[in-house]
Order: sequence, then structure tokens, then C-alpha cells
Amino acid sequence: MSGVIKFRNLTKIYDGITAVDSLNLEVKKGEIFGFLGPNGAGKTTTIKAMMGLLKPTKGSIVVNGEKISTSAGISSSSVGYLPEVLDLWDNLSGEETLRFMSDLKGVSRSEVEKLLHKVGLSRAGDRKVKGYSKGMRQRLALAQSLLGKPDLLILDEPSTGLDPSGVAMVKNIIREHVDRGGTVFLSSHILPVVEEVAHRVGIIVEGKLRTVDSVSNLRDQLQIPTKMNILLSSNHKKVEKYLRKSPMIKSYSGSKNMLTVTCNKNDKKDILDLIEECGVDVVDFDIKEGSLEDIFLSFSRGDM
Amino acid sequence: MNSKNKKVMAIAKKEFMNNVRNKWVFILGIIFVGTILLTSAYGGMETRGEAGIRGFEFTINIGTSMVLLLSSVVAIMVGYKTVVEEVEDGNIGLLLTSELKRKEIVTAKFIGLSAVIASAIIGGLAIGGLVIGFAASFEGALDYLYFMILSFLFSLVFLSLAILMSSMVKKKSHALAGGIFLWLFFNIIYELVLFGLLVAREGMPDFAEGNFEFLFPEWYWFASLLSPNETFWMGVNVILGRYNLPDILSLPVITVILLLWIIVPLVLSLFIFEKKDL
Ligand SMILES: Nc1ncnc2c1ncn2[C@@H]1O[C@H](COP(=O)(O)OP(=O)(O)OP(=O)(O)O)[C@@H](O)[C@H]1O
Ligand SMILES: [Mg+2]
Repeated sequence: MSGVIKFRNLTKIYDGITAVDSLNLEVKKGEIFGFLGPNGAGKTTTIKAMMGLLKPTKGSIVVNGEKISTSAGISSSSVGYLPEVLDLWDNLSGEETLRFMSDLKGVSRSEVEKLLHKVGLSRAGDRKVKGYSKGMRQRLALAQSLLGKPDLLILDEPSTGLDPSGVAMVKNIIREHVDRGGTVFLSSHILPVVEEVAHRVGIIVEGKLRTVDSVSNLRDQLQIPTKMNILLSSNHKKVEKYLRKSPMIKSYSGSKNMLTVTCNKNDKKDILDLIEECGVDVVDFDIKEGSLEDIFLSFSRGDM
Repeated sequence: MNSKNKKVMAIAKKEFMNNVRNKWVFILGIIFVGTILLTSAYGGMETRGEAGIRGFEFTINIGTSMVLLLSSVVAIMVGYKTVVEEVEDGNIGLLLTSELKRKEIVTAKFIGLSAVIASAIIGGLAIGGLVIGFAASFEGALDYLYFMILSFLFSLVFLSLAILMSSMVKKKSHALAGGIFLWLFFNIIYELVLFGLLVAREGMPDFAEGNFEFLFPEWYWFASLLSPNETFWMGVNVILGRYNLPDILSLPVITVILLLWIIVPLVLSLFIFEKKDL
């Protein structure tokens, strides 16, 4: 698979503040790439540089084989872009906004109605954006990024201001886009969504890319403990002594018949067996494997 | 039309539609038609002793100060936000997914706003001119036509300067401040400076003698080319055959200078905006 986006040593310094520090990264065609990092880590700066909105202090970005510059922009490819901060033209209606963007992108206006429907704005399409709520504006912004079925979709915090159905919609849009053969570069703080859709994630902290891999590889690599909640047939005190002694148990807490432990992914079964051996029945349990959130936190705390 | 030009025209058209409803533009058109007709009809009644539409020469005389003061304001009002607002609002990122380059986007905006200015200036002056022509006579209509062209070009100078401000700064308010400064500079400050120089070098002119014809030395005229306002005023003088301007400052030369006053700031804004972090 070929690299659609290639960052080479991308560095951006804003008068003294290094926002992005020697970033090297390649995003492949057909991939959903999740770009994560704490506030102020340099995600938006990276994306803006990719769009030709910022002049890199050092390094270069190549998108679809063409070098990005502030003068040429991202003119090479068909790109849909959802900026982090966007205050769409107030005096246009939702429909007019999409029609204008269609003309601008040189694509047929026939998609406008479908897209309004897709983002749930069919009934508000003829109202001026001035009167839109925050979430409605975000939905419209998302719709414009999809005009002309671009090859590459660049989304900077697409879920901002969206209700739960909106967040689910974003997820679907991203999946559909990739099913069509497109590529997605996604920056988001909604980690469960990223975890669900992203093929690979990159975590950037203080301008430096700390890791790039699939979520499951990172989980294994970091040995993020699995968390088990177990409902017992009697008070947890009956098993506490045994469990606390076991080397399999990394942490233990209990209250009444409920008990929570963390352990290695592979020790789950053995722990349940150990409980039964103490003569206490396991009534119910649920398991939470190390989530992207855990991975994210372990990087962003800087304890790696 | 190729696809790139179509995209440029899409931006230009949007710019036109947004601004043609702008109250400043509307007010300008009305004031132009209104003032021209009213002063033409009633101005100087004491000396004439009767009301009635007067000819083009008189109209150009009044029109000149209106163009200098008002159309420059309107051009700034129409132009100062045009680029910086898109940057502030983040819409520039969307405009750039059109495959248009930054230079082309700014040029598109200039085209759209020029059309707005054209409809206000040329529209206002043309309606006034037609009424005068039919009510009085069409004698001197060609002069009036050239006056309209110079007025349009002069307004485009300020549009171009406003776009330069808009491309340079990071905030709308700064672009407005820059525009207001340029307006004050060219409408008041530069003229005062020139006049100060004149007095310093040639002594206080003797207005009482009324020999305005020979008031201004040659250097004064050439120094005037450094201000679009003075350049426009010289153009009007040439049209009306007033004062003894140096021969080289013919109408075509003055027109070219005004064109340079449009092109230089515009090209400058293209190059500045092209390299800016947005
Ligand atoms: N125009 C600017 N001038 C100066 N510093 C800036 C500018 N834009 C961003 N920065 C700085 O660069 C760093 C990275 O900012 P950036 O917006 O890329 O972060 P981010 O990862 O997108 O954060 P968030 O999750 O909050 O959106 C921050 O320290 C920020 O203060
Ligand atoms: Mg950001």
C-alpha cells in the first residue's frame, strides 16, 4: 500500500513554542488514521501544515505525491477538510453553503440534498446558518467535507458539539468513506470512537510523535491490565486474603458482594477458578480490556 | 470557461452577492445620484437667480470631492474584511480545498468586489449623468464619461489598499484601523504635507490675486503622483483643462498611474498573503 500522506521531519515553531517537533509519519491509502494527543500537543498544527495553511519551520509534507506549500496549497488531490474551528458563512443557508462549496470544488450540485439528509439537516437546509445551533453548524461543516466524494478526508475534532446520534453519524461516515476506498486522517478526543474505527493511531505529546501502531498492538506492547468486575454469591471478604496473595492480581478492591481486580489479559480464567476454589460462586462478571483511553493516558502522563 | 476560472468566478460571484446588498454601497449610490442632481439643480442659485439642472462641467466639479471622500470610504468598508474574515472564521481552509491557490482566491475577491464598486460608482454617476444630459445637454458628456472612468479606477485603488490591509493582518479590527489610516493619510495628511512643502519652498501663495493657474510648481505635480487622491484630482484638472500641469501628465499617463496604484498594492497583497500562516 502506498503512502497518501508523508510527513518528513515536520517541525513548526511559533515564536519560541515548538508546536510540532520532527514529526515523521506515513498514512497509507485506505487507512483510517487516528491522531491523538492531549490539548496543545500539536495535532491541529500538524493538520494545518498538511492543508498548506502553515509554513513548516522545517521538514516537508507530501500528499498524493505532491509537496504541500503555502502558495500551492493542497491542490493536488481531492480532499475534504473539516477544520477544528470553523464559523461558516452566516448569511448563506445550509443548502447555499453546500452549493457554493460544490461550485468551488467543481463537483455536481446533485449531492447537496443527499448530504443534508445524511447529516440530519434536511429540514433546516433552507434556513440561514446564522440561526443554526452549534451542533447544526458542525453537521453542515461535516457535510461540506464530503462533497465530491474526496479521496482523502481530514477531520479535526469532527465530534465537537455533536449529540450522541451525531457522534454515531461521524463513525458511520468515516466507515463508509473507507469502504469506498478513501483515506481518513482523524484527530479526536472521543477515544472510544477512534478505538472502534481507526486502523492505526498515532499519539503526539508536546509536539513529539510518541507512538504509531494499531490499538491492539499497543495494548499488548504496553501490557495494559485487564479490569474484571465480579459479582460473588457472598461477601468479598471471603476471598480477599487469597486473592491479595496471588501474583496474578495487580490491584484489588471490593465492597459487599462486588469485587474489582486488574490482571493480565491471560490470567482471567485462572482468577475465576481461584475464587471458586475458595468455595465462593461467581454469579456474574464483566471484563474491560485495556482501552485506548488507558493507552492514551499512559502516554500523555509521560510515564512511558 | 475552464474549471479554474469557474471556481474563481464562484468566489467572485459570492463576494458580489454578499456586498451588493451592503448598506455602504447602497448609501453611496444614492448619495451620488442625489447630490449630483440636487447641487446641479439648486447649487449656486444666488448667483444664477434660478434653479435648473446644469451641465457636466459643474457636475464634475462637485463630483470630484464626493468621489475623493466617499468612494474611498466605501471601497475600504467593502474590502477591509474580505480576506482576514475568512482567516478568522477558518473558512479559508475550505476555500483552499477548491484546488485554487491563495493568490487566486484573493484575486477572485478583488474581481467580485470590483463589480460591487462598479455598480455603485458607475451606476450612481451614470444615472446622474443621464438625467443631467436629458435635462440640460449632452455637451461635455465625453468628459463626464472619462470622469466616471477615473472615479472607478480611483475607488479600485482604495479597494486594492483595503485588500492589502486585509491580507496583511490577523484581525479584522486591525485591517479596519489600517484602512482608516490610509484614508486619513491620503485624504488629509499627504495633502497637508504637500502644502507645507509648497509654503516652505515657495512662500505663502497669494490667493487674493486669484492666479491659481500658476500656483503650483512642477515638482508639486510630480509629488502628487505619490497619492492616489492627488493623482485623481490631477486627472480631473486635465479633463477640465484647469491649471497648467506639466505636459507629460496627460490623461493617459494619469490613467496609467492610477492603474499602478491599483496593481501594486494588489500584487503586494498576493505575495504577502501567499506566505502567511493562517
Ligand atoms: N498561532 C499560534 N501562535 C502561537 N502558538 C500557537 C499557535 N497555534 C498553536 N500554538 C501552540 O502550538 C501548540 C500546539 O497547538 P495545537 O493547536 O496544534 O494543539 P492541539 O493538539 O490541536 O490541541 P487541542 O487538542 O487542544 O486541539 C500549543 O502549545 C499552542 O499554544
Ligand atoms: Mg486541535
